[in-house]
Amino acid sequence: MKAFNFQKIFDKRHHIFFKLVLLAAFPSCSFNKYSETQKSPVAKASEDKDYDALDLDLNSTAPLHPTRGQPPVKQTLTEGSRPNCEKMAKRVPVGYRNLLAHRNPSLRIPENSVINRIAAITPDHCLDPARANDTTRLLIEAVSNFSPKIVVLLPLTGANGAQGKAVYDGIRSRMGMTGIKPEQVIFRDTNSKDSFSENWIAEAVFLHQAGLIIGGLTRGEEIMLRTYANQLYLPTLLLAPPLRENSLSSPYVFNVFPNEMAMNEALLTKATGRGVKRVGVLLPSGRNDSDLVQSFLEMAKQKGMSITGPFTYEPGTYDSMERAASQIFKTNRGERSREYQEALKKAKDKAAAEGKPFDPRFVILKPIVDVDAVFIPDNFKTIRYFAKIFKYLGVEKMTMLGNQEWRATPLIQPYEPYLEGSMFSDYIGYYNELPHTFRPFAGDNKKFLMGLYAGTFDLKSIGLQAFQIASNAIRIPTQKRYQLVNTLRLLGSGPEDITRAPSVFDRFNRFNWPAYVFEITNKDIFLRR
Amino acid sequence: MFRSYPGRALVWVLQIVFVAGFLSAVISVGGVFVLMRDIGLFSDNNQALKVIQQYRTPDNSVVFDKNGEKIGEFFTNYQVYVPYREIPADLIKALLAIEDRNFFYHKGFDPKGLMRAVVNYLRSGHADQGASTLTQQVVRHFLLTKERSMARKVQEIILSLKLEKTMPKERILEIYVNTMFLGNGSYGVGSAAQRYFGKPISQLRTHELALIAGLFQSPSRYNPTKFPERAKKRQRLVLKAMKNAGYLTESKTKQLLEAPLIYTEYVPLNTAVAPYFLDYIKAETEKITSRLEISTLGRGLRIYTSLDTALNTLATDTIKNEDARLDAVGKSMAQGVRPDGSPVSRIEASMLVVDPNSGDVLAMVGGRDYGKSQYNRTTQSMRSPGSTFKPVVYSLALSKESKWNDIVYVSPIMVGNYRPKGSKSDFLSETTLYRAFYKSMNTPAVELGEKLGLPNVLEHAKQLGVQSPLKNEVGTLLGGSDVNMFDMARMYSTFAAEGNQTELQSITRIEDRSGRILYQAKPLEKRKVSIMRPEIAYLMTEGMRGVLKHGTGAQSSHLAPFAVGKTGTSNEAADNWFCGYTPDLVAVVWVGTDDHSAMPGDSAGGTLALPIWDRFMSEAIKTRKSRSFRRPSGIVSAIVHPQYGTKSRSGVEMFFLQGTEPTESASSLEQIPTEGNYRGIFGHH
Repeated sequence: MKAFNFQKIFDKRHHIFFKLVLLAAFPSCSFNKYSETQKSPVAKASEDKDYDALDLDLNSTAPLHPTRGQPPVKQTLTEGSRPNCEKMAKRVPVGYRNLLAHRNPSLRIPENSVINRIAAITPDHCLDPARANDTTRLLIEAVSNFSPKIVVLLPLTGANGAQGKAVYDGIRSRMGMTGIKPEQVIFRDTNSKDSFSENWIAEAVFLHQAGLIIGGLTRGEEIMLRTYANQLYLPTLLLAPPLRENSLSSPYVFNVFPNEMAMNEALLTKATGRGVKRVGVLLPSGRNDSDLVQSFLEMAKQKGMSITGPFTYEPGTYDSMERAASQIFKTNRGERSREYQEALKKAKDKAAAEGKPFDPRFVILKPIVDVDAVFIPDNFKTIRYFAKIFKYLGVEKMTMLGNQEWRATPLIQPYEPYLEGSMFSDYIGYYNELPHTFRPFAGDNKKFLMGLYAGTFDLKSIGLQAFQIASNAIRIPTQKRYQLVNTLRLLGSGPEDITRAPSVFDRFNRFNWPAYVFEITNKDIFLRR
Repeated sequence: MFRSYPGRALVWVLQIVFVAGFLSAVISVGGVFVLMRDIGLFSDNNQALKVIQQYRTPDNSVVFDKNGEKIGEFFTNYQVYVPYREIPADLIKALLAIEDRNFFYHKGFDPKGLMRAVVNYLRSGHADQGASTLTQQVVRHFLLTKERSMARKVQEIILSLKLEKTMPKERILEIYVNTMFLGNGSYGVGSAAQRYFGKPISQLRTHELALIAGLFQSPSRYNPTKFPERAKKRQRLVLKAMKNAGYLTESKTKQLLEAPLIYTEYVPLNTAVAPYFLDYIKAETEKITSRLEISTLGRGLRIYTSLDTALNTLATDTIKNEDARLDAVGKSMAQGVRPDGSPVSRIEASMLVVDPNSGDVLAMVGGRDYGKSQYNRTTQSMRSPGSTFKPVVYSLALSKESKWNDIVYVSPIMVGNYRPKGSKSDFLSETTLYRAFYKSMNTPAVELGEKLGLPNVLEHAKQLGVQSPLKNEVGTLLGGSDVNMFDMARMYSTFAAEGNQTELQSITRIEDRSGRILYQAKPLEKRKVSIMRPEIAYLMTEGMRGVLKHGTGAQSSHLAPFAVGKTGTSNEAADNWFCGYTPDLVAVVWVGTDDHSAMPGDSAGGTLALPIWDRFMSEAIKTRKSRSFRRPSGIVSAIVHPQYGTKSRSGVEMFFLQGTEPTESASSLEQIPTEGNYRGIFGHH
């Protein structure tokens, strides 16, 4: 059945209600401005300039398992050319062989299948002029053929099951509204295990010939998907934070995740505006090398701020937290032993003169406060304790800076006056300002979500946003799988996207996830726009 | 020169004899005159006799418990007044037989009796009959010295004769039996009956009365407890005298002679039942009588008190039964030596029990052993109450805006220069006020107190009945100001009595011996004032139930359905408290040393005082009518997470003013320990 183009009726009118109603009634209908015969600019670009995204440098010695920060690889995919043949022969068959090796034995591949032939290809095949053309054609075919299916790989069980489930819920909540048929979306549970993921990727490629893969919620899955995306020219929406460096790890990988760097940027900008020039940094152990911290330190330095620390602490261990705070405010007796001994003697003499028992606990060194703010990327609970520890050390007032982990009702209830004026960044603004499809059910509180729901809501939003992008991309008619990359890169944002940027992705294939800064003031939190 | 003539010498002799005779006569008359003057024949003896005539037989002031049972006496000389009509007839017979057989027939002096006594003495060698009449003995006791002279004897006879003219025989006898010293510190037959036989004179049998009658001659010589053989011999003499006087038949006498004399070991009542309470009552009585301008001693006052003897005995025994345990703790205290080398005081324990509704002081045990230490720790000792003071802070907070499920972040705090001690294991543990209370955390109480304002807390403490002056310091919030056990009893009574405070009373009424009421305690309605809303009192009761169910008193959780309470431990466990109550009974227990020595490391209110309270209360509730705490309308309960304050099926029951109960069933706090992070989406990578 030829799809009826309702967009002609609602030309230039993005009326979401009608879209939803019509999509529900006619799932195959299209809202593209252009019919299949009249190609959309994106589709046209994909066909005309379908190698832009694959403009890879053949001289690069990119490893098969790229890691973050890897420079972009340029390559030109031209049918019949020997360089392309070699490059592809180095990557595609390797990926196929790996998938064949790790597939579930029940996933049978017929012996005469073209897949086996591709897997057998080596770069030497390209050296033989008689076989080069066939080899290249075969390889291009392998990365071109696809069905308009989206395979979603999530850890629905196992260690990361809760997170996977939250993402899954987000996707499910969006599925009925996008015009994507249920059979076009295939969910697979990775059981939080890499081996499962590899099996499902094999199934997605061999059996379903998926056009797009969504996954990468765990670190192992992320690495695996990056690898196969790169080897198989497989467009992948990665549910993982973007790389810290402004770089492209693989042109086939698109990050759909909040952006810590953007959050830091927003926070530091606001802090600078408040006159913060000296920042102390307290870090929970194991976060030293995190992107968040490293980017914070780099950006702070770029803004001319001086940094004290970072000092790490063991969350939940009082002595460790007090020690870290003492390092910032230099109340450590060891470092100021002379001063401490004098204070001790003075207190002893005073107690003796007054006839009172002497208690060394009451002898404390006055803090040396030479920072304007302290950055603590930890949860609200730890922040409240640090506020108490600061007070205990005699620091009368200190602006504290943090991240989305602060955002919870207990941050301000019961009210802790010490936190007045402190700020934190977040990747979600007021909940009631989110696109309608994203808004939580408990929309009565625009600032906080209840209990456990706040954490799952974030992941649900990621899933929802990722699926929205995937469904928009897959619905745009495209001839070849690798051409979906261009489709994704050129995808514009709509009212139902979290981002307010014109395009969904930036030039490094990172979703333009916005950043917000909240300030604690008047016993509440307020968005600083 | 003298002329000589016959017979002249005779004349001279006669003259000399005459003169000498005259002079002798003059001297004799003068001597008799002097003698008669000396014995008071010419003086106004009536004035001296007034001492006897107006003598009011002294009587001990007697203290009664709430059931009218005698629990003690106040006296200078131990005297139990026995009016004439209550003197047993056999005692009178015995006395007459051995001391003055013609008492009812002579005029105060009995020449026949005297002769008979002399004859008997000469014949038998035993003074089995008195030479002096009872009247003479009374006169001698009151008016004369013990000098043995003819003049004194004559004087005694004259005064006796005069006394008999002005006073009936019965009254003389009554004075006699009630005033004579009869050994063992007893004066009069009533007290002797108590001291030797442990019962009132009315309950003594004839052979016992005979022993008492025999004591009059020489109470020290015949003291039955010191010289039972002599006493028995004397008793036999009395019985024989009774037979000789015709008061007893031969067979009866024989029977009485063989009847065994069973003496009770003298246990002074004052130290037997409620010694500490009696000391307190004595002091309280003196306060009252000084206001009434009467004396306490010898007045025969009848002092009715609120003491529940059974409970007091239970309290005493409970503490006594802790001897081994407390001594063991004492031994472990730095080998019983303080740092300065002086010995550590013995570990003491005290208990005060009151009825919160009537204000009656029901039991008072001021120490482990009255014999060793009469220091009453319930009234005289000022000690740091530790955490038993915290209900002051929490009740004020709950009466303001606080709720049991409010969250507190437990961490060390500094207020001014004060850094209250807290348990490190509690730090970094967020908790509800309820949990902070039942676990007796320090820093939340200080924070709460700071929020409420120290002056407001101190004022509230005063309203709750803490009459001891409290220091205007943050440390007071944690019980750093000394109080006495009455302060604590008043405070906890207020919670137990649904927010009403009834002035404590120990003396309900004082009468003189004729039954005239000298003092009457104020009626209940005039002693009772409302201090806090019953709803707030109930919230506190439930908070203190939490102490027994989940907190520092959980070892006594078996009592939680019936009773509630709060532990308290001062610095270095020098004071260890448990204050708890049922709807009808408030019991305050303290354990410590009089010199404020530090206790061993694991000592606390929960380990030292609570076991005593537990054993006492477990027994006490068995004997009392079971009653639950009344839940006022407007109070609702909810199952709440003890740390996060949200509704939780696996939580604990908390109580709230209606409309303030939690509605949320999930807390962001919950996610951190569950998930290891909160919104930590970047952490997966």
